[in-house]
Amino acid sequence: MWELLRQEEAVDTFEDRVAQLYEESRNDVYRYLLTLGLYPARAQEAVQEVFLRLYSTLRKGEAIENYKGWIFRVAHNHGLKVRARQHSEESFDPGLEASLRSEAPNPEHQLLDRERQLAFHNAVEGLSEQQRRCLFLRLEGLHYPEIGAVLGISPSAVGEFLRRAMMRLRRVRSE
Amino acid sequence: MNNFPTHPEEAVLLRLVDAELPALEKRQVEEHLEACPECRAQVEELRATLAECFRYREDVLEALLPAPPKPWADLRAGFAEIDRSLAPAAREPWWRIKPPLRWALAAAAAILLAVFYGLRETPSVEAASLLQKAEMAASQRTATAPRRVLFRTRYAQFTRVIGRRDAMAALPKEPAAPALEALFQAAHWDWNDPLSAQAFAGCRDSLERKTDSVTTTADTYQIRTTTPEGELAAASLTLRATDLAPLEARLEFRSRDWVELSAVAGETEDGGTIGGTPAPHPLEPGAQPAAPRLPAPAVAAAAPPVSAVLQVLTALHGIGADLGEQVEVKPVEGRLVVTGVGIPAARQREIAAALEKFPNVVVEFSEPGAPPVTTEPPAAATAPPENPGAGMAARVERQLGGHPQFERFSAQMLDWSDAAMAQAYALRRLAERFPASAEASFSQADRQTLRELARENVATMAGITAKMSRTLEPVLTAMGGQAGAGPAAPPDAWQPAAEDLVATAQRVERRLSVMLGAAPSDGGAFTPSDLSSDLKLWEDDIAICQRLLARE
Repeated sequence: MWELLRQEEAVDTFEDRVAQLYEESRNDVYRYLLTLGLYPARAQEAVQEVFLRLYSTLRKGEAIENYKGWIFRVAHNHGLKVRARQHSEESFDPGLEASLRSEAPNPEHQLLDRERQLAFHNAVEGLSEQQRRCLFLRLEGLHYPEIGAVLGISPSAVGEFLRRAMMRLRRVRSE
Repeated sequence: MNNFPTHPEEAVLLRLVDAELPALEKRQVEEHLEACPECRAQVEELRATLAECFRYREDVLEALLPAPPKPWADLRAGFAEIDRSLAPAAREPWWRIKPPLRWALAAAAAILLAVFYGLRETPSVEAASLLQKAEMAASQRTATAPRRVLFRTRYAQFTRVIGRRDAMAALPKEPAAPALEALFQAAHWDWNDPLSAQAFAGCRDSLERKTDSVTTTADTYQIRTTTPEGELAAASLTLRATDLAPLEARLEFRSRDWVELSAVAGETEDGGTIGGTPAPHPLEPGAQPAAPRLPAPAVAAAAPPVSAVLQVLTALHGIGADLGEQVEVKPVEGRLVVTGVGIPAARQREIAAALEKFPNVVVEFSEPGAPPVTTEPPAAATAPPENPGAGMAARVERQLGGHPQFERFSAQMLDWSDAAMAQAYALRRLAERFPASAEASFSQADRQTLRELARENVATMAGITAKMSRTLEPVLTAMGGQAGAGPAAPPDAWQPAAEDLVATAQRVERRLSVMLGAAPSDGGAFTPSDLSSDLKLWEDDIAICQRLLARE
């Protein structure tokens, strides 16, 4: 009887935990998947799939030490598969440059700011795929070993990719 | 004390900014910063760039990427579905089944439920339930039958006979045993019957805080318990699925020591083999009590044959684990131990899976306690702040017709360079491990396997350097670059040729990075012609290696 009750409690805890993580980080994961080249509808579906998998994994008794790292790793791998299956050969291009150019001027975004953003955006676009991935994951708050786990590279390689990315972005800043 | 008399590398400063430095190194770098305005400025610059990145995330990515097309779904329905799928399946309502079959099925279901009840439980309930069943199963086996258990630690290996006190007393004293016994007792692990569900359960029950997991395969259940308290950090027990007999146990201590116990199969239970019977694996020589626990003692173990090493390397090569990762293959006490530090968990699983089929291979990964070491020697020593490469980057940029073109160009070149270097280092590792003198004694098949591995590295590298050369040469030529002469005296074996190749490749990588502004100059000035020559030299080195690898 008590065992059954404890079991129910554990299930509730998993549900609550995953529901809370979903609430907190679904938008971050969704954005990451867009930058990976998934179309919005696919990216949204993929996010939901990732959190369902998280729940299923916990329910099966597998221990997850680092939820954030796990979520982004599974999202990344799943995202790559989804991207490969997308009907269009082309990855999703969010057209950020065009958005930046056409964005209606507002007091918060002075022309100069926009120019700066455009230059920075172009520099980010100019990074290699790995450098960009490392940077985006870093901006989501992941540590080097977690980023390494997502991308299947060593933490020291993450450090090197980030260093190179920083070198390039720094040049844009100082221009 | 200032441990950075010269300036720390930029990668180190970035790790400081990213809060990725371990405490000791962080303190050392901070001490250096206090005394060094140049590095302080560099750190400030890195911080500002990182801040700009976060602004970019907020102002561009968050603000301008399209919002999700639909409202976010509530996942609780999905959770319920998963719960249902994890519960035992029920297809046909039982009352529709005919009585005789109904009772038979009910009986079968009761048995199945009894056996598998734990598997749909939470891990701790599941573990406890399995252990209980395993203990019960053990009590029904012949309780006094002696059996042999192989003990393995990092430093020693021996067998013990379990279940016959007179036999145990008669055994020569294993030097590592008393220390192990103390460890086991501290962990509340039964030393007299260590490979048993009861020993595992005794230890597990003594823990106040613990996390369990149960892994099921076709043939086994594995219970693993981790705990934040005490000396023992984790323990696992593998049970045979058919009769819940314990097959293996592993104790992992917080000191990073570990003990593995495994049942020695095929031993008779008549006690006739007790005593000086050789274990299936070579034993730590009992006659050397003076050095019982020193790392990797040179025991009279037959080293694994070269073909076994090559097979393991080929398997690693098959999943690309010979490139850039810190995966090592070492013969230890007659086995092959594959080690790695800081390898991501998913990758560890891939590597372990790729090596599963090799019976005499042990895979051991560890987490980096110290800061992650760069995979390969760093390309350049710490540089003075002035950067002669900056002028060259500007020239390349002019040559290419603008900044965006330059950015694309340099990103591509650096990626190619990374990929080619990974192959070069993998080749060098092979050359170091199997020098020409050793290769000479190989069988024809082993030599072919080794050469095939090396040839694949070289061929991949050749493809990448050809692309680099095609892309880079026009730019260098336009900047006045001209390739110089090839290597003077090519070596006569592929192994020394590989060494030359790596040296050239490192020079290309370093100079390329400096030219593209991706690395500070190491102070050595060079011209486009120098880089052009190096690139040509690299291709020549590759051709030489290929020729030598093709030669019998």
